[in-house]
Amino acid sequence: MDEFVQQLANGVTKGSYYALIALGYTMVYGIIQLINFAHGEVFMLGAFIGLWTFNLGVTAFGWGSTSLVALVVVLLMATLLTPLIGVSLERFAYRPLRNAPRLAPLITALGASFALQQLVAVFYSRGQLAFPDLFPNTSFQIGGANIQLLWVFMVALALLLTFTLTAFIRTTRLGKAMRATAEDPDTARLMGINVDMIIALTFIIGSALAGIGGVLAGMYLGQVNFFMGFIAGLKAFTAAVLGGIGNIAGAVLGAFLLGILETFGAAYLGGEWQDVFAFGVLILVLVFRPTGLLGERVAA
Amino acid sequence: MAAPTAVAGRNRADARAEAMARLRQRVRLPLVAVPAGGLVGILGSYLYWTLSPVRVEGVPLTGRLADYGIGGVRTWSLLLALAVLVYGALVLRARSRNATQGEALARLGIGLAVLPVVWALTLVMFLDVEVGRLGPGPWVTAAGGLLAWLGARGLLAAEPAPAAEPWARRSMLVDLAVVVVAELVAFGVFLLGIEIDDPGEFLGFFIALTAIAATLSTIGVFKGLAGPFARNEGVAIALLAVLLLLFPFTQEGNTFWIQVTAQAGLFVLAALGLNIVVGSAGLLDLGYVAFFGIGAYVAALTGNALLTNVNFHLPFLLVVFIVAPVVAAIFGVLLGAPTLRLRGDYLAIVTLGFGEIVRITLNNLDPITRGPNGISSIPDPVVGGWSMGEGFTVAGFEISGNSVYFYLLLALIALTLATIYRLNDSRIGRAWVAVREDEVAAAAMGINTTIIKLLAFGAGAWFAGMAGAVNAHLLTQVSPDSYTFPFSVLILAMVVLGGLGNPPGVVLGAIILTFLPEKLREFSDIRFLVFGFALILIMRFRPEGLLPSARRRRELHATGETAAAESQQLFDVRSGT
Amino acid sequence: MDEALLDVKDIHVFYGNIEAVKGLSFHVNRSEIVCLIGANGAGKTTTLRTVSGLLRPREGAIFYEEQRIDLLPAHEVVTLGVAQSPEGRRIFPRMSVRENLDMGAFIRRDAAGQREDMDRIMELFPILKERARQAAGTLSGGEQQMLAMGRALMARPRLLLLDEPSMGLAPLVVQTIFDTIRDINEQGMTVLLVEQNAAQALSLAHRGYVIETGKIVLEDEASALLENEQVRKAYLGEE
Repeated sequence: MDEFVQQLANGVTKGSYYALIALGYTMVYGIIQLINFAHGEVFMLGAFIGLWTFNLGVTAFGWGSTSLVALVVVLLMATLLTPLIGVSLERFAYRPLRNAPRLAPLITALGASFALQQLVAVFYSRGQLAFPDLFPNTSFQIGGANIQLLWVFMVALALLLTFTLTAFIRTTRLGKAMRATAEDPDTARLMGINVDMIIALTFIIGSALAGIGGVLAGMYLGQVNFFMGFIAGLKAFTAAVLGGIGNIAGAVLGAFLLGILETFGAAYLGGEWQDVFAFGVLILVLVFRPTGLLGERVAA
Repeated sequence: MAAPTAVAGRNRADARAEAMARLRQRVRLPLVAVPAGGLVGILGSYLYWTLSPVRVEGVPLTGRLADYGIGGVRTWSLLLALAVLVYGALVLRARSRNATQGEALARLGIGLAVLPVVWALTLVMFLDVEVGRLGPGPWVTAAGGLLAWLGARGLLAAEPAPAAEPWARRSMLVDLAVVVVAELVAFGVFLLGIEIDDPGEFLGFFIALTAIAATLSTIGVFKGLAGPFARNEGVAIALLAVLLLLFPFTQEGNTFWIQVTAQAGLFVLAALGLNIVVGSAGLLDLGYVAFFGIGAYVAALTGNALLTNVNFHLPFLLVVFIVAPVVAAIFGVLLGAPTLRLRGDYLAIVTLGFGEIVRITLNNLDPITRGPNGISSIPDPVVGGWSMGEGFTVAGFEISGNSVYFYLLLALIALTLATIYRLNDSRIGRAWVAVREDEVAAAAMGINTTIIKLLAFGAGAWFAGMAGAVNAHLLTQVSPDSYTFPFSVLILAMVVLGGLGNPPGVVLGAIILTFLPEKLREFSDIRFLVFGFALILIMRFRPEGLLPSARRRRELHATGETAAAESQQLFDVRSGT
Repeated sequence: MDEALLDVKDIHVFYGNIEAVKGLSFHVNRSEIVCLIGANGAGKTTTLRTVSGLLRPREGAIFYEEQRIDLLPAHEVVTLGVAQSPEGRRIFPRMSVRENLDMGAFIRRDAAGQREDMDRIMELFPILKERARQAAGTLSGGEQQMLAMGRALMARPRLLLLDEPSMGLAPLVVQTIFDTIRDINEQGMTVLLVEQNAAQALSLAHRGYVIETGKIVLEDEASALLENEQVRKAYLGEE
């Protein structure tokens, strides 16, 4: 029982940052039907931006770990800077190819993913880098399991961001314009919606969420590397497909489910099979229920 | 009747047209800049490029202080500068000029400008040479290139030349001579490239070659060559075969480049297979390496390796031609059958996941695969009691073991190409094209799209398995780390660079992307970085690749104007669901 | 000519290398209903999409309120006061009826005016009020057409472009739609109507143009076109 609760907690925590990545995947897919392979790299860069911000803070302001100020600034920087990456990708790599056959943007996305990964590897580091403990290292017991406060924070933040995003898309003028663009871009233009702007906005929001996810993952895993976005991105995409691509609620549900499934899979089948488990789920979902659990829809 | 805004709009358009007309008249003026740029480039090539010797792993880079003569990288900048000068002067003197000439000159100019800059950048960034130690040479040369480029742009306002046509037949002899000379030149350039050891010089050689090839392509030489080649296909193929058979003899005493060429052959084989999947059928397979890996492990497990947990030996030829490809194809069908019904981009992610699954399984299935250690000491294949590694002797010439691999791969590639051309001309090949271009319409025509896609997927896996099996023997070992996602991307990059769907292009792409990293080993760190950017840039600027098939060029090139007119298909992607 | 609200001058529109509209000129005066009639594939919809800015003419120009608009992106054309109810209605199926109407008013910032217009449109089409919270995709064809028109009206346009409003609808519903168009026009709205249903369109419109393979072959008062021998044969199904 203790073991079960412990694994559940681990899985849910993992699911929280999968969810933050999956949201961007699902939104971009919903609006331009592109698997943005580079999205996992935006997540990775979010973690690195967090790391660099912290290092800067240490030299400039003498930050120590578990500093609330550092945590807030690091999260903020990741939120502010990752959208620049996302928007540049959209503007310079994907937008020129909107008329091209769909293989072209897909290959471009792959190239972008590679390029971003390698930029970090070549110009910064290929190694495993320790990520600072920004969050107070407190834990408590529930049902015999050891729960860290950080985990609660991660899950809460992910849920909060999801609800904010849902509310934004449901009720605001721009949010509705996003849904309209996802449903029918040409008609959206006839409504006076600047579709290019809306697509850019989608990339901005998705990237910011992935950036936050990167910082959370950095804290959770305690280390970051240039390759971390690849597998995490693949899993987040799996989560988005699991929930029904284009579906915000589905992506989050899928992410938590995948996190839990994966943790239990690793616990009972052996950790080395963890990734096989995740990708096996992806293939099974696509084969047996390609519309995902909640069905494909766009936005809330 | 029109309001002010409208008048302004009209006037602006008129003014622009007038300016264009004036520019056309004064076209001579900027054009003088082209040969002038060439002269500056020649001057730059004779100036110092570095102020003291630069050594990379003990090998001095050319362009030393004491070296006033021409050598190393400067040979190639000089060659480009001469080309700019001569061609620029010819165009300047020509009675009628056209925009195509301007474009061609611009390409030469860009090449001349880029060559020294890339050379300098690589020295500074990767070989830790301080900027201060660079001489004035590269900068002067680059300035010359820039000048030529700017001058050439003056011509772009002119009318373009009529589209190039394949050269018509003059006489049998001329045709044959063209074919022979073209192939000899290509072979010579290849040998020259292999000869150049110095990485700095190789960069210069490669950029000059690219610029000159781009220029020849612009003025229609390659299109023209298609004429004689089409009329003398048999001779062309026979001569190519002879040249390739002779290749090992040009590498006396040094088998390294023969081995690299054999490696290139493996990649050609793998890329040709992937090309069926991606190029012909339009399915993006990102887990292609899995099939390559499966083929390699099949060969390793049945190939009498020293350190293996499986004691089961099969004859090499049986493995290469039947067992490895069949096993790989079975996996391909197992994966493809349920997933090929899905829309195309899901397939990309499923195959990516599958590639990871295979890698992890190889890593974890210790009892059979020996886990992360892999299987090593795989002996050279033995055919009828003769081990390929021993080589053989013909008429006094010794053929090394590596050369045997090279010949083996030549044979496999020839066989594969023949198969692919037969396939492409068959009902299946046409069905692939139909499915790629419009799956719904293809289905409406009565094509069973799932089976057709499955055939492509299986055929791709087949050739990957074959290549993998040879690879296991060539490298004498297999391990899960060799078959990772970047490998899949590398092969995809070969296909995309060469020309999606066009076998000769794919062969070219595979050769370039095998040799380039070998030649630029000093920069192997940035290899994948370059691949990433290359994929983006190719898709953006030349999606049809270096050697496109005619059909593909039409499909992929949305010119500015049609793109605007087709903006209603802005989201054409969604119709593919 | 001076009161021409929309003036289309010799436009040529291409899909790839195929010329769909080959030098088309027409104009729409203020407070007029003008209809373009023609067979399937004649280029009617292409013309309308070009006016809206979804397509760009390769040659020629389009003036609206004496301002050149053919170089503007579609979303800016809307802000000038040109709204379109597109072919096939193209409502946003997963958004509610009310949200669809909201999207029509996307370019407007006057909340009060929008509410007023929303009420007016729901009065015009009472069924939309009943179904305000329903997903638009669940509406019947006729209701969707009303929604599409209402959505276009929400932009408070000065020129309303209607593409095949009668397509696929029952005769009774078509009558309602056409009555509404007349009502809207009588309140001062200028309407450019594209129709295959030539008889009804011509009896509603003031003037008409006949398009064949991308060119205007006839133009006249609508009543005159109704009497025209050729039109009767080709488009009104009379022998």
